[in-house]
Amino acid sequence: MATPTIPLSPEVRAAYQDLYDKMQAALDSTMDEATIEALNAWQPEVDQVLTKDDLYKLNADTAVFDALLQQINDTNTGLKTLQGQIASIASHFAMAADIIAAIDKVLTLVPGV
Amino acid sequence: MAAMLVFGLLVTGCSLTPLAKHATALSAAIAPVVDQSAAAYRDAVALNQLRADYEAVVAYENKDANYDPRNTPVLLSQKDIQARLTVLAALQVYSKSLVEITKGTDSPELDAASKSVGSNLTSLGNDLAPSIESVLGIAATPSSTTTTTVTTVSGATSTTTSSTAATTLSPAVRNGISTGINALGQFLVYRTVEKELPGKIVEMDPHVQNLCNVLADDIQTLQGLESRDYDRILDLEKQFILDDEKPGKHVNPQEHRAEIMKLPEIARQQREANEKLASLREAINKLARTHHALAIEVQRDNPETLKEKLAELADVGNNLGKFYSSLPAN
Repeated sequence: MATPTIPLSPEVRAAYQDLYDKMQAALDSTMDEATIEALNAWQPEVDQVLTKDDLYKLNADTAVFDALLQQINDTNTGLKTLQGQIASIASHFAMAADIIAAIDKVLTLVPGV
Repeated sequence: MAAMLVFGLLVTGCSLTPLAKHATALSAAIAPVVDQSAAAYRDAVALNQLRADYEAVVAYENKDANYDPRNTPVLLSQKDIQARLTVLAALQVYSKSLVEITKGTDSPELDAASKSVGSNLTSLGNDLAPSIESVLGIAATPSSTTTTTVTTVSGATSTTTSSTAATTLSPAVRNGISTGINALGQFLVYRTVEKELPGKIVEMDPHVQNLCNVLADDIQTLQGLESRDYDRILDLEKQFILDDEKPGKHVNPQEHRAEIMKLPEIARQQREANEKLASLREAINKLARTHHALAIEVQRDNPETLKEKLAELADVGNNLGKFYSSLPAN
């Protein structure tokens, strides 16, 4: 069986899938050993075409995942900066509390100031 | 005026609530996708390796000289799996950051800082009190007035009246100031979030949709591969069993029955794996929908009906009320 060009077109893929399904249905419905041996010899050839097409897709997906990772990491960096800005608001309030406490202490110790 | 200011702070702060809810829903939607995807990739590889073991038996029985166990194809390399798991982990970091940021107005650090500001206001508060009171509309402790009458040796009397400012702010005022400062902090946090976050979420949405599409395709591909791997294992098992029944094989009857009993178990595993992958695809679709809902939420200028707004306002008011009541009474 000649190997078709990968990736398969949707029509070609559907034709191979249909052939595979019919072979599987035949395998599921017989106890005749000769038939099973024959189908078990040929069905893997059809399966190989479908599997090669699947592996092509998985490899292409890997490249997309790699590209997406960069995008998501860029956004995560931006969010980290934003978290820092929010934290600094709280820290400014904490700093204000410290300054007020320090002034308060001075006023308590030196009432005439 | 002061009441309107505090009300305004509460209104602006409250529109964050649905955003936080969507962010939390997103985080919840991502968790099963990450866990199940990682398991799905590993299961698919393990199943493919089991099939390769069955193929080895066929190759040896057929005396296939080309068969080399070293050339057994690998479905997904460690690098391929890692590329997928890394992008999913980054997506999880993203969702957790969103949850933390959208809950930023309820920051414990901010609460602690505002309490500290309030409790530190003593004598300094006297100088600040008039201006703070005018902003927040809070009554300060009234100042005391002292009348002193002095009688001289000659019998003459003189009376002097002096006013002394309160030495400390009353607990009620201090608590009022703390609450106002907390509301101001929440307002500032909200302003920062409102300005920065929507753009990032909207910008991220097409990437998340793309990721979900590719992930769903990936899982669909695995579903096909796994289904055919199981078919092949079942078909070969069937052939081995029938071969063992040939005259002259003298197979142990118990071992023969055990081999036959493997068939329904393999079929069950095939069905379960198929259902698991189908539910994973549904979880991925839900993740895409949840993120898109979040992106729409942050773009709405007038996202809620008045009734919903008021309900959120009540929520924020309750939170502030809890904060206020948690402050020391004296």
